[in-house]
Amino acid sequence: MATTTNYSWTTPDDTALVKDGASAIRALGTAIDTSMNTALGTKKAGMVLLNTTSFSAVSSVSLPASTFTTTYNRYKIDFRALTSIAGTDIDGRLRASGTDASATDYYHQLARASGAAFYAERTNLNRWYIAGSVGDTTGETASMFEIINPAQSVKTTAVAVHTGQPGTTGSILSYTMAYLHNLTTSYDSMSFIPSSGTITGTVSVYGYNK
Amino acid sequence: MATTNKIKIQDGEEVIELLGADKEAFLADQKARADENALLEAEYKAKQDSRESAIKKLAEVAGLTKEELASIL
Repeated sequence: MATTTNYSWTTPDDTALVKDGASAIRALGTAIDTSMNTALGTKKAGMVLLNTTSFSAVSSVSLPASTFTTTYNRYKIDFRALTSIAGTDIDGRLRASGTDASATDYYHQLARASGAAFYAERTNLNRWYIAGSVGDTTGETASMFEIINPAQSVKTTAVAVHTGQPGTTGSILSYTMAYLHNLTTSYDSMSFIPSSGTITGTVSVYGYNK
Repeated sequence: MATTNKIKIQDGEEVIELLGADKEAFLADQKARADENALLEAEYKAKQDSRESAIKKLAEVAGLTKEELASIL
């Protein structure tokens, strides 16, 4: 009897008799039901991978349209970038119907640690300032965003942790950020835009199931 | 090479080349962001340096190492 690769569910052989089809379907359905119940019980998967976008040598990368919907309130964004130009900053803008929101509605509260030195700042800009010196030819930056209610008609907020200067030995920085976008507009995507040069990397978006 | 004049942006899975007014607008925005970010970084560094200097002076007065005082503050 043939079995599936991962869970070894029994499936009919090519030579099995058609008259045994109903039994075979019932056995397969029961096996799947048992496996799903073992994995999740009555629960749902807590986090859903919505999309992963790879980009190479681009001046801006936007998440696919309709990444943010009212299906989820909270999203985790795993943004990873390499850039060929050390010192490049990454900016972020919310996006609706294919257009970045570029008015001065973005606020951030920044806590920046460099060695024993610590600095805090609250700033109002026309984008979210994500991290200074995000990477170089050898270092990969990691930015973990938790973005809240981007598609709901309320103000969008976010918290994030970013690495800065990851490829510069002995100079790595940490940024802990709180973000606010001061409009109640619904946004369906977000863009990541270096302040110079181009970026290469991946960005994945996960939705938290309610 | 002509390709050096192109600006590529990625919208989801689609890569778009910016030309003409769109390209100029992107470059103007990019320059403004870069200048502003450079000022922010310079400000962060200046304030960090100022704080470091103050900690060093305080540490001398208090008879502590800079690290000991920084851990208290």
